Amino acid sequence: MKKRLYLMICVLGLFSCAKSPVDTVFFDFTGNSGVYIVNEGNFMYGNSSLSFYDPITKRVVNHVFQARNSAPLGDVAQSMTIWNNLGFIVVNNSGKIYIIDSSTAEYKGSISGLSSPRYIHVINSQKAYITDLYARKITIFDPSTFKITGKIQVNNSKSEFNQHATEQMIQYKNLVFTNCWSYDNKILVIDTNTDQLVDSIEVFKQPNSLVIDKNNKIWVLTDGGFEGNSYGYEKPGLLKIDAKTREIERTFRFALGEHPLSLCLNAGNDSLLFLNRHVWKMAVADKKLPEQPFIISANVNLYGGFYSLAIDPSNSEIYVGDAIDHAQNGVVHRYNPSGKLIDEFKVGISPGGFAFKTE
Amino acid sequence: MKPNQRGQRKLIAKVGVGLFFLLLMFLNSKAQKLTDTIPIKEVKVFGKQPIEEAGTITTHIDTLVLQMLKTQTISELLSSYTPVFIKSYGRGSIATASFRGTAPSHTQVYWNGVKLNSPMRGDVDFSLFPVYFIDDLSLQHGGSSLQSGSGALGGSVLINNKADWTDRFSVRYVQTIESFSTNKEYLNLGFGNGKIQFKTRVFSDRSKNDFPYFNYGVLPMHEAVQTNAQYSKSGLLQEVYSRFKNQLVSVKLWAYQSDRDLPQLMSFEGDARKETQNDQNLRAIVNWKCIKEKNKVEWFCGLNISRLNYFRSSTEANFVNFDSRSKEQSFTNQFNYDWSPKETLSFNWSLNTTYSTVSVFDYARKAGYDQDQLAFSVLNSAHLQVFPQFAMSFLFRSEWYDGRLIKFIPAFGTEYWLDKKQLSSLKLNLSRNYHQPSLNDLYWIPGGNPNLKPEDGFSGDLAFSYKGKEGSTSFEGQITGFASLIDNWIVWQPSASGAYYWEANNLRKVFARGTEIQVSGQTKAANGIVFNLRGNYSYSATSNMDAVPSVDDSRGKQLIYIPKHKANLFAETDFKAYYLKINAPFIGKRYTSSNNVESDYEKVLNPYWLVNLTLGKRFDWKQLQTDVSLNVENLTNADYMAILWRSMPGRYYSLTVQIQFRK
Repeated sequence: MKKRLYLMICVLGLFSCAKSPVDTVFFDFTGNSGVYIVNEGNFMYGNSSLSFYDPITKRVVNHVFQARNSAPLGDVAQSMTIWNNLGFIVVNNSGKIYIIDSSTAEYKGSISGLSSPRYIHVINSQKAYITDLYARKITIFDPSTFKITGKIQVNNSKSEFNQHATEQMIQYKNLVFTNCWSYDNKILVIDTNTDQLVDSIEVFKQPNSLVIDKNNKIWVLTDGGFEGNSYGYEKPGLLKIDAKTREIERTFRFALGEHPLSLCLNAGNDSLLFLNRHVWKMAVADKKLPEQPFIISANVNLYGGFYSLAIDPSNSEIYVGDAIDHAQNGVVHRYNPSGKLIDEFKVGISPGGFAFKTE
Repeated sequence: MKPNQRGQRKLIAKVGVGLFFLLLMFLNSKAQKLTDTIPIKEVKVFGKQPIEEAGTITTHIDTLVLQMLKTQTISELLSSYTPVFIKSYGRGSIATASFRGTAPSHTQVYWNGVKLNSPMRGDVDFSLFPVYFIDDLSLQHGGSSLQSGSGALGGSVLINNKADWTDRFSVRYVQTIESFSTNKEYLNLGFGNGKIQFKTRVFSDRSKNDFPYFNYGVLPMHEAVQTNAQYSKSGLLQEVYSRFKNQLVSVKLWAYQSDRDLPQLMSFEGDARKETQNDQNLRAIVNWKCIKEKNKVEWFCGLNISRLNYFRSSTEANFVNFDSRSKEQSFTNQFNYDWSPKETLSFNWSLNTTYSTVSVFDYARKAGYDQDQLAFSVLNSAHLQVFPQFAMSFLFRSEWYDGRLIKFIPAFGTEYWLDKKQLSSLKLNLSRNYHQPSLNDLYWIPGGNPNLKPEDGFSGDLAFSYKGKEGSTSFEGQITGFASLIDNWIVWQPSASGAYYWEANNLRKVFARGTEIQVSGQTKAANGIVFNLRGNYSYSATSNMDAVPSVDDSRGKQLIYIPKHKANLFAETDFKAYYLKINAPFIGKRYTSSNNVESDYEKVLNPYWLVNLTLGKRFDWKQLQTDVSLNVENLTNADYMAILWRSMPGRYYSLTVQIQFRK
């Protein structure tokens, strides 16, 4: 039985009347499962923030990072990875990673000097990778010391576009697969033993997310670019790739003008969920794309529907971020695995990423 | 109410009533000096206002202010001496206007009649206009702007140059040395024989802009010095005027170059970035006027060429994110005919055609567009003094652009003087106005929307103005209430298609309303001390009236980055050759989220006062006049944010020397 969320608050009331500078607010999420919500904020506003939600108490605490550490998170927080009671928050347009204690949100250190970091993947206690939109490299760092230890060059000098912009990472045995989204159509394969780029797989245009299912099949979602895009504009797609042979086994195409994103797996790693304005779901064995949405967004006509999606790996509960107009506090909707709404709560501006705290 | 809110309200209350109290104090001090009969030359003599201005809400910036701010840009002038809010990204950086709580593209700027708003973006960067290049500046508020042109849903800024027919030969050189390795130089050369006049102005403004600040945007927090904020601006303004009998011909040429490094946010800790913006403007106007007793014919043609290059790269990876180069050209022709059959009646007809082309291409993203636009506008206006104490005006415009005809844009104004000397009056102005989308709104890739409708607004103003002179004291004041409802307000927001890029849409109905209070006064004491006071206060509430989805909390809330309260105070005292000037602009609270949430975590930008002080002395020696002044900016060393997480300088200093020779 998990302990109830316990907030140790020195100054009563998180959004209290205190004048700036605001006193430190202490948290203790020890022993609680829960989910951190990474709120991107607006580009060049520096108003990204971190929220913590406890699914048992249904309590949400916003501005966790700033309340605990008295400093802002930075400009466009992109993603968060929890490993060994540490939370690695990638602050994309601030060019840095902030590391916090995942139980107390206390600042533990940072990795700075990055170009446009996107995601972190921890390989072992001495090695982790940071993908980057603009660096033409994957940065290697030690997740125990937060020191940068090396890099993997991924420059593609043959393209007229700036490549490769590396994005999400999944691991199969000693190999890391990363999708190159911006102006690109490749999945790069990296050997984690040698930190070398060993292969690449050509997929459709602009792969934006990828997952690996229980059968070791890699699923890649591509958005196809946009009308007028110099790199091209095509129907978005979904591809199934065998992780071992790196062969494309099956492909699916969406209609032109659709914008699928945020490919996720359920806890059993046998169902795919993704956003395309609404939430859609299909089994990994399905031979065609779903025809009806799984969860319907009420805001599709004005703001283009849901913004982000994540599945609780412990129980397949579904978390959907709704950024509304991207200029006000977004909303997170929480659904049970069959798509029934359990709770909804307000978070920061543009909730874009989720990190589940499992210990 | 939260204490900080209470604090803000208090501050606001201070501003709101403070101006009135100051005026009262001022009037009291005046009352004591009524016996003083010494005539003074500085006080301007109030004449009857021209019939063309009857019923309009117009602000003329005093030449004293233009002279005082000669080493600044119009952004500082508007911010410190008018009700217009300037959103500035910092020292030397981009500065756009919000007039009466509207968007930057809703303020139209005219230079000697030629519209300077970027056809690409719709707005104007006021940091690219040195006050030194201006002889006359006025504002037309709300619907009063329709006299100059359409599209100014907030108002218009009119920048003019004038001939000095008495100038036989004059040289003026100004140098300012300022903190943060800033050096400004200005030179003005004028000569002529009264029939033909030449005037040349050149300037250069360079700064390393490396001011110190405390960076509380990173961990650990630390003292820091601003980097990548340097700028270099230079320009030339050449004017030639000639007059023969009742005809006047003038040619003006404006060349301007600005190279700026763009600093990162306080929270930035990434690898070295190069981010720059280069602006080049070339403007030319040829103007011909024929003035007769009862009519005036004017024709002018203007060319405005602007280039803007924006570049950003990560230097280590040599990864170019943006290499956007744009070129805008506008060619304007305008013909005006004014007919005044008698002093109390005036008609004005005007025909304007403007052809604009925009070419923008990003060499990194390999995307851009080339578009052009042809627009016609016809103005018919009549001003009539019905009774000695009552005047009215009616005008309407008809416009055509891109195959779209806007048949009828009317404005109606009345003015009623409460006394025969025309010292106090009531004004009413009602108008319709519209603003066409910028070419970026229509064609930007991705997200531009060729189906956008023009923004359409109705607005009304009611004003009371008063001016008086008693002995050596003069004073002026105006209080205006305004309201406008703007439909089809263009907003860039997430694409309804679910795409990751944003799209332009006619989304909102926006209600903007508020008050503007302007007061000024001047007095001269028996001992020769001249005292000058000016104040401005504006309240503008601008809110989105139709947020649709139930979860959207932005309905009825103040638009982001537009303060409800703005004020400024200016006081000057002159004694013999010495002068002391204090200028204190105030900016109220600004929201940065559309639902106006307030928490302790910097989602709201706190109000701030800045106090700037100037102390100077004039030295006159025959035909040589010298002026030396010491200026302290941000005297109280206020720590403030104009834009989220952009550092601003604390207290800093400048020394200005002006040498003028006039034959």
